[in-house]
Amino acid sequence: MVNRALSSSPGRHAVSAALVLAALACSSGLLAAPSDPGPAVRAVLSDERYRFCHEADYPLSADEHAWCPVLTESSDVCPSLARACAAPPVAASAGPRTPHRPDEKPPETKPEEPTAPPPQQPQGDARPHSEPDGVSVAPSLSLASQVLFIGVIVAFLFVVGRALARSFFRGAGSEPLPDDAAPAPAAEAAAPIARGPVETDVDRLLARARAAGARGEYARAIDDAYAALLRRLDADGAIDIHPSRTNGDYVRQLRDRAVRGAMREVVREVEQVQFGATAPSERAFRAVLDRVVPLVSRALVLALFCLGASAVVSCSPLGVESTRTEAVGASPSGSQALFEVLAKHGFRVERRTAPLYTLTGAKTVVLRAATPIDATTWAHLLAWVDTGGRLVIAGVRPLPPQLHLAIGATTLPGTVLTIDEETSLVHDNAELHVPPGPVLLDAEGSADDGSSASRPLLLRGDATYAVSLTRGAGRLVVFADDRLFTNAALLAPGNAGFVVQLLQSFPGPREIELTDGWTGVGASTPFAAVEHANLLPMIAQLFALLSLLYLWKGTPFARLRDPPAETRRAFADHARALGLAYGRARASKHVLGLYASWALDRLRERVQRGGRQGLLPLAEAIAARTGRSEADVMRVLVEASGAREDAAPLSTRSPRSTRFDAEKKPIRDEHAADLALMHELEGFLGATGRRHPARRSSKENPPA
Amino acid sequence: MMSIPDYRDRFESIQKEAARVLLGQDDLVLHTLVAVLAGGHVLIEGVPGLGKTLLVRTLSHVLGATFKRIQFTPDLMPSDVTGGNVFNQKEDRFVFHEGPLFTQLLLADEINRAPAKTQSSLLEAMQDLAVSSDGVTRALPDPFFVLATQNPIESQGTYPLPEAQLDRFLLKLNVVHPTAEVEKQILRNHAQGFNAARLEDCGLTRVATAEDLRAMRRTLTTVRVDEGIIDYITDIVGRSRAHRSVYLGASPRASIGLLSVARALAASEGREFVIPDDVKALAPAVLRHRLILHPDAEIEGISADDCVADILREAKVPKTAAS
Repeated sequence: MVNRALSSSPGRHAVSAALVLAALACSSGLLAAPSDPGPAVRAVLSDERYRFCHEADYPLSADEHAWCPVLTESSDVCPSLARACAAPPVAASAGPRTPHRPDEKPPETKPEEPTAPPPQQPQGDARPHSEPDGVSVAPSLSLASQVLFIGVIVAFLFVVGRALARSFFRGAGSEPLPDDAAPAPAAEAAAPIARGPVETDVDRLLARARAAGARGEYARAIDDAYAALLRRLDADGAIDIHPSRTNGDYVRQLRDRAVRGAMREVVREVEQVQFGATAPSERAFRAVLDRVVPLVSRALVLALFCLGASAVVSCSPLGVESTRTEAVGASPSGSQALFEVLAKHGFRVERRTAPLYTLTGAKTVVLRAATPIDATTWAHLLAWVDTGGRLVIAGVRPLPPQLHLAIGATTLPGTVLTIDEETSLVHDNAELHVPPGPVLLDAEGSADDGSSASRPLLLRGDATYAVSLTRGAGRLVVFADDRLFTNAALLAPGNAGFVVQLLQSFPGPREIELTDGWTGVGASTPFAAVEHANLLPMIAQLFALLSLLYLWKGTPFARLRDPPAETRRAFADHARALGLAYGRARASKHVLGLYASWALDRLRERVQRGGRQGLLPLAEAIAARTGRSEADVMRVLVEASGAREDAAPLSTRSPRSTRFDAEKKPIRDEHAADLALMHELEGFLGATGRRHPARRSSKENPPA
Repeated sequence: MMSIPDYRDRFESIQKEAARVLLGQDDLVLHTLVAVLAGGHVLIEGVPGLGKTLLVRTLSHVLGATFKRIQFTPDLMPSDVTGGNVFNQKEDRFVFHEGPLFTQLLLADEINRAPAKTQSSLLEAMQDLAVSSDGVTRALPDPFFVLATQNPIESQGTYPLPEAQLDRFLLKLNVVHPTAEVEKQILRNHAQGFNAARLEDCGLTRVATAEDLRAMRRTLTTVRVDEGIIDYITDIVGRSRAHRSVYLGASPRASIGLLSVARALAASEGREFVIPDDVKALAPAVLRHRLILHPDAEIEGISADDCVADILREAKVPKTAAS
C-alpha cells in the first residue's frame, strides 16, 4: 500500500505539473528569490511565551515528543527543548499547560474514521498576548459586529467624557444661572409646573428645578433639586426614601463618607430654606444646585464607569494571563509561532472560527487535522475552490471522495520529506523533517470525474506525503498530516521556508485563515450556544425552579411594603395570652376563684332550688341531674365557694369568711388540683344547661 | 438673652465638662441638658450602678446650681419634702421651715420608693414652681428642675408613679449599660484615683451660672418653629392616641414638651430653627412614659418604646422633597 501510487499515472502528472508550473509562474513570490525565514523563526521563538524553547522542564505530550528525534540539531534556536525531550512524555490531560488546548492534535484515530467532534467547551480568547503586525487570531467578527462594537465603545467614552465635563464645569460653578438652566419649552416656561404625581426621574427633576429657578421660584427649585439628589441616591441603593424619614435619616443612611459630607451640606442649605427664616433666594438655589449636580453626576459617572470598566476588562486582553497564549497555540503542537513567521513575510493570518460553509472570497484556508467537516461542508469547500479559493488540507480525515485520496492508517518511520523533483518550488533545502506519520494513498475504487488534476509535492521515502491539485480556478494542497503547520516544525531546517514559499506561491491576496477543532462550533443564537454547551438541561431545571419559586413567593412589582398590621385578634388569642400570663404568675388559685364565682352564679340560675338558699339545695339539684352522690357534689361546691372567697378582695369579704381564712390553711396549693376543680364545675355546667362554649379552649389550653 | 451661637458654645462647654466624668453617656447628658434648658424635669430610669446619681451631681457642679438630694423612702412624708410650719415659742408664731424642695437642682433619688401622697407633694412644685402650705404659696428658686431616678427592676416596696406625676416629667431617659470599651476606661479612671463621691477633687469647673441658664432659656424663644413642625408634632401626638396598643395617649402637655425640647436641641446645634430631626430624636423620651398600653399589649410584651417607634414610622415628615 505504501508506494507512489499517485505517481503511477504519468498522464495525470504531466497535466498537473504543467498547471502547477503555470500557477507557480504567476506567483511573484515564486519567481523572486526566496527569503530566508530562519531569522524570523529565531526572533519569534526567542519570545518567552514559547515556553517549550526556554523551560527545561516543559512537559511534552506524546505527540510533541515525537519531534525530539527530528529536532536534535535545532538546539541553538530552542536551547531548552533538548532537556525537555529528555523527560518522558506526559499524558495529554496532565500538567499545567493542558487545561484547554484547542490547538493540540486529537488522539490518533483510525484512517477513514470520522473525526471526533471537538469538546463543547467555551472557546478561549484566541488572541496572543501581544500580536505582531498583521497577525490576528481573534475570533473573526463580521464588519457589522466590529462597527457595532466600536460604536458602543465610542458612545460609552462620549457619555463618560460628557458627564465628567458637565460635572467638572458645574461643580466649579462657572456657569451663569441662565446658561445653567436648561432651556425649557415655551409652554412649560410660561405655565407653572403642576404638582401632580410624585416625580421620580432625576433628569426631569433637575430640569424642573432649573426651570423654576429661572422663573424665580426658588423654593420650588430647591425642593426639586434636593428631590433629584434623593432620587438618585435612592436609585443607587444608598438610601431608601420613605415619607417618615427625615433628612438626617438619609444622611445617616449613607455609607460613603464623602457623599455623606456633601449630602449634609446640601441638607443644611435646604433646611435653612424649608424650616428656617432664610427666604429662598437665587444664592440659596445656586448653593444647593452646585452641590447637588456633582453628586448626581458622580453617581451616574460611577455607575457608567463600573459598567464600562467591566465591559472593557472582559473584552480586552489586559489582565489575560500569559498562559492563555499557550492555550491558543504556543505549545510545540500549536501554530502561534507559524502565524508570526508568516506575518513577518507579509501574510495576514487569522484563526477562523466562523463555519466553513460560509466561506467566501479569495483567500487561503488551511484546514488542520482537528477541523470538523461534514459532507455538506466539503461540497461547499470544493465549490469555493472551483471559484478561485486556495485550500490546504492538512491531515483532515476523511478526505472527500472527489479528491480520490485517502490518508493511510500506517505510520511510516521516515522523518525526511523530499520535495518532488517535478515541482518548481525554489527551495534552499531539498529535504524537510517531520516525525514519523501517515502518507497519502490513492482512493481505491473511486471514479475519476476529471475535475482534479494532482501531482506529488512532498514524498516520505517512496510514498506521497503531500500533493497539489487544481480545481477549476482554485488550488488544493493535501498533506497527510498537519505537522508542518505547527510551532515545532519551525525548528527543523527547511520546514518554515517550504511552508512560506508554498503559501507565497498561491496567487491573489496574502490572506490566510487557519482552522482547528473550534472552527464552526460557535453558535449563531444564544439558544444554540446554550445547547452546544450542554447547558440546556441545567437551564431548563433552573427555569423550572424559578417558576416554582415564582408560584410560591410571587414577584413584587412595586416597592416592598410592610404587611398591614393586624388590628383585631381572635378571642382565642386573648384567652391564650391571658392564660399564659396567669400561668407565668402562678395565679391558678386566682383563676379558679374567678371561674368558681362565675360557675356558681350560672348554676344557681339554671337549677330549681325550690326557693331555698345555700349550697345544699344546689347540690341536691345537681346530684339529681348528674347522678352523682350529693356528698360528692357538695364537696365540689364547697371547694368552689371557698376558692371564690379566697379570690375576692379583702374589702368585699364577709367578716366570717375573713376570720375563717385566717384560721384555715390553704385548701389547695397545687395547680393540678385547681384545674381538676374547674373541670368538675364545667361538668356541672354541662349537665345543667347548654355546653359552655369555652370548654374546648380551656381543655386545649389549661390556664396554668 | 444670648445669641444662638453663644448658646451653642455654652451648651457644648457644659456638655464637654460633664463628659469628663460621665463616660459613654453622651446621649444621656445631651438629653438631660436639653430638658433642663427647656424648663422641664427628667425621670431617669435604670438599674443601680449606671451613674444616674453621678449624672445629677455632676450637672449641679457644672451648672453652678444649688443642689439638694432627697432619698425617697416608704416613710417619707410630704412635709419632709416641701417643708412645713413649725411653732416658734420664742416668737409665739408659726414659722415656715423650707424643705429640700427649695433648691435649683433637686435629685429625687429612687422616687418610686415613696408612697403616692409623698410623690404628690412634688406635683405643684414641678408644674407651678411653687409650694403651698397652710394657705400660703411660696415660689421656688429659678431655675428649678427635678431629676428623679427610679429602678425598673425592683417591685417589692415600691409605688409606681401615678400618671399625673409621670406627665409632669418632660423626659424619661433610660440608662443603659456602657460598652466594654467605656467600662474599661471607667476602670482605668478609678485605678488612677477617681472617686465619684468626691467630685470636687476631679477638677470639675463651673462653666455656667444660674443667670446663664435663665438667659439660655430665654434664648429658646427665638428659635423658629415652622408650621410644618407644628403639624408634625401634632401628628405624632395624635397618632399616640389612636395607636392600637395604646389605651391612653399623650396629652397636650406632651406636645408642648416636645416642642420645647426640639427648640432646645436645635439651639444646641446652633440652628435658629427646628427641623423634623429634632422632633424625631426626642419623641421617644417625651412620649414613652406618657403612654398607657392596653393590657393585652403589655401581656404580649409590647413596650411604649415600640409604640413610639411605630408612630414615628407612620408619621409623615413635613416638606419631604421626595415623597
